[in-house]
Amino acid sequence: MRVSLKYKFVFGAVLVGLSAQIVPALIEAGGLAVHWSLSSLVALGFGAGLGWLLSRDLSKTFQQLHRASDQMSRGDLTVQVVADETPHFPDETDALAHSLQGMAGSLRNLVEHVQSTANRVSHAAHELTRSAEHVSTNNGEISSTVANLAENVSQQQSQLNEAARLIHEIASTIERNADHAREAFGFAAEANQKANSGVDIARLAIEKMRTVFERVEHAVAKVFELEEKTRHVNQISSIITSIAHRTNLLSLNASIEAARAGEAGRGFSVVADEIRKLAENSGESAEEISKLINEIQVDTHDVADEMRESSLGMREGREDVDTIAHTLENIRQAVGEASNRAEEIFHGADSQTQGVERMVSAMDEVAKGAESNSISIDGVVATSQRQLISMSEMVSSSTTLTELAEQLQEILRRFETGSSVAKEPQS
Amino acid sequence: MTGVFSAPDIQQRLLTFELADSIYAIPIACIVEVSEVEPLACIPTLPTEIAGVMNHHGDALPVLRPNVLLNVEAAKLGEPTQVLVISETITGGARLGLPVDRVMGLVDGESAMSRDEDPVAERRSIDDRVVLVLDPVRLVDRAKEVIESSLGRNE
Repeated sequence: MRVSLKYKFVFGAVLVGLSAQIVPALIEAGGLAVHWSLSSLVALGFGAGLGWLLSRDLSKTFQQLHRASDQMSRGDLTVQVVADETPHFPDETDALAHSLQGMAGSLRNLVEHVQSTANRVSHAAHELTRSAEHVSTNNGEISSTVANLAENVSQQQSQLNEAARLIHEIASTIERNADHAREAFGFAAEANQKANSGVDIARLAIEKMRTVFERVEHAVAKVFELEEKTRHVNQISSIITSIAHRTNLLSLNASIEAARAGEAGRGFSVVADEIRKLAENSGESAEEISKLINEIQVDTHDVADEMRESSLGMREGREDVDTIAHTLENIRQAVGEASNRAEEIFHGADSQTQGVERMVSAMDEVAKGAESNSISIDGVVATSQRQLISMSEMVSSSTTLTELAEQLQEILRRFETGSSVAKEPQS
Repeated sequence: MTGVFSAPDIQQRLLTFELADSIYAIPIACIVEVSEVEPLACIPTLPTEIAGVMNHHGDALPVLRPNVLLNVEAAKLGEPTQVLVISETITGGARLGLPVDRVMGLVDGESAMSRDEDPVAERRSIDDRVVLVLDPVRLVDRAKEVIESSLGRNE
């Protein structure tokens, strides 16, 4: 049964008081004439004896507590505070011992945990140091790489700026080409229209030329007929000339006969002379006609020859005109095809211009992005340098942490917990 | 031969013709006919002075080369267009053919008689041209002499 210490003190005080009252009374009752002082001494002795009995366990407990706390203060947390034997009347000291025992156990657990944690911290600090050193090394490489990257980005940015400038020039050139293509399309369309009208005019001209050819060929046929008729007239003229010649000859012979007839033939001689003169005139006229006819025939023959050559030339000319018409038609088709191609080029150039504008815009965006990347890379370089410094600091801190962990382990090694945690080798 | 051509009219009409670039005149009294040149029949035995024989209304008419009757160069003779049929007399007699380059016509003029054997009796100006007037008698005599001499040479 647990009795509180205060009740024990109260019980002792009560016993002392009771003994102080009872003992004199018993002495008086026993008839013993004992001086009150003796009785007081007996009472005190009795009281002291009771007090000693009562405080012996308390002292023992406190001694145990003192030893336990002393061991604990020396770091021995394996101390056994609570005795194996169970007291008859446990009090607060027992509770204190139990608490101290619990505290020792808790401290042991705590120290073990702290030791384990310190070991892990030390291990982690070592790892952290190695990692920090590795990261620092890597950061150095990264910083170098980032510096190279920054330089490359800078070069890339200048190249991008140059490329953007070239793209602008190309865009300008393409725009000019598009303008030229637009003008070419306009010219081609106008040429196509003019070619069409030219082909129509040429077709009309060809029709007119064909009509002229037909008329000329008709005229050639007429000239041939005229040549034939002239030849016929010449034959007739020759006949007339022959007749005139014969008439002249007859009249001449008639004149001779008349002269030979003497006076009787005088009248006949006059008539024969007149006939001869007429025959001579007729012959002369016929000869003139024959000459004229010959000249006409020669001219007609020349004209006919010219006409024949002209006819051949016109036949060739008609073939040439047909060839020209065919060629004009080919030209019209070619010009139309060129116009279509020019229109396709124009539309293609327009699309190209739009594409180039988008490309220029994208290139500007890329240049801006490159500039932003350059700024970011500069920031990354600065951050990397700061990170290098931080990593150096971190290495230093981790070294310090390792040292602190080792110091903590050294401190914790003073505590005896009975566990093997504190004796684990440090890696 | 004198008095053969008694008719004064006939003596006063001359036939002019062109031969070897010269103009000749002959009285029409001795002209039987002016005939067209017809193909001549070539007889191998004829002398070279005779160009050939022409069919004149069924009669064989000897045609003599002009250069053997007149004093002309053969090279200057052109292609004959007519043949003058000349008779010895106005009433008939021997006939011969004389090819000429061209018959020009009839002119008024007196006939002339040659004083020697040359058929050209005189040179006369007619219409501003020099005309050689022939004596038909001498011309026929010359023809006879040529034919006879050539026949005699052939014999």
